[in-house]
Amino acid sequence: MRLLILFSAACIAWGCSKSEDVNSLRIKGSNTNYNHFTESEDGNYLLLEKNELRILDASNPSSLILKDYGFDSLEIERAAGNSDTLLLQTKKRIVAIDAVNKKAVESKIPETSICDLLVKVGDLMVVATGNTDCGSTAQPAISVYSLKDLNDIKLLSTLQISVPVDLATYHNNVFLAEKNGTVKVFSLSSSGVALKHEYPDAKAEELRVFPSQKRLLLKSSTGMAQYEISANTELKLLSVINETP
Amino acid sequence: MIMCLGCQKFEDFRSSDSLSKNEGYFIKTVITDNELQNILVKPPQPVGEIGSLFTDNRYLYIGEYLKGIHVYDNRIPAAPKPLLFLQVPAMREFFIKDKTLVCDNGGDLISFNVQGIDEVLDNNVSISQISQDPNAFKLFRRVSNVFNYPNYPRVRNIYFECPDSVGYVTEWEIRSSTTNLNCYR
Repeated sequence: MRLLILFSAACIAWGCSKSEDVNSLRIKGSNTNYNHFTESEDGNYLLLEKNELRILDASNPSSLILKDYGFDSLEIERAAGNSDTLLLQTKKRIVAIDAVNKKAVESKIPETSICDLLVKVGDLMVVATGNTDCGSTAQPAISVYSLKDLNDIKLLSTLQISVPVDLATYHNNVFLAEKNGTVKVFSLSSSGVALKHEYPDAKAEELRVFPSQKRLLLKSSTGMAQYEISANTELKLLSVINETP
Repeated sequence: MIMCLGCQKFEDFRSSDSLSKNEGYFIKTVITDNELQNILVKPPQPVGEIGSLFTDNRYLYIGEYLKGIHVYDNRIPAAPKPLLFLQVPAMREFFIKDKTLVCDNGGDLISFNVQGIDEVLDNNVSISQISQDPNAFKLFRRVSNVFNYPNYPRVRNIYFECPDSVGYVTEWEIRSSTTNLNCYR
């Protein structure tokens, strides 16, 4: 019964992005507040607040130059890409924005969940689905799509994974953190995605990759860890810093 | 399913949820608009709840959720050494480029100089000295109201005290509750 109640509540919380009143009870919060600051593919930053997206020009960081994009009818939960091509994760759909021609294309990808993860790597879009925390019933999977024609986004390949919690790019590779703590490294190509390495003991919750330093920073439930990324994308643990209880 | 799709209002479910009367999250620390601007440099501190992470050629930066940034000397990545703590109230995300730190600060977006970190590492300037230097961590720019500050706990499926008419809640505490709390996420 309690699960049902919680599921119903969660549905409201996730389905309704604004605060909702249920009698005197207020349902608050959204995923967006925790995905509001994302590095773009071209090294700038995507600042997200519901139907507003701003791109912060990181070439002159002290000036805080912001370019505003308004999306009246879209409630955006997550964004990826760059100032030419943006990928927006809305409540149910991934929408591709051709910013040069000011055109929005609603993808034909099957319905997605707001906890799905997406990144853009060149002409490819990587989507990790199946996060049950957001009520998704989809089979956990990582899928790669071709973005060569935004009007016809094509699925290239899909691999089964465990429940995904974070996704980061490194050149033509993606690092995936799974809910069981595993980090998986996949290579990307025009034919799709292939698993390269797997680190089941990484205890990963969140990932951040710094290509110029060849470094992966990983947040775990107890602290953080630094890894060196080798030439063939193997990970070597450098150090661990634990949170103070 | 209808509830999920339609966002329709329906009856309050607290009466049948035992969780609602067992415990909840209560406001512990609130800061005001003025306190938001208390950006300070301090000696190294114990690392609390980690938020975001960043690194560059020399430093490792560990963001502590809503508190600030722990800066480590990371020239030997196998043994990072704590260097200082930058207190940035109500900060969730940040990045550093060209000796400029850009982050959220409550609902605002700010940028400030972090050249002072080099002074501490390279010239052995003490934390107390550097904290007196008005230029070492000088604010470059503040853009107000870029974000909605999340005035609710980070975890989900919990009841919490509604933060009405308060500033920025930076700490919550779990306490037992004998009455229904009016906010849920």
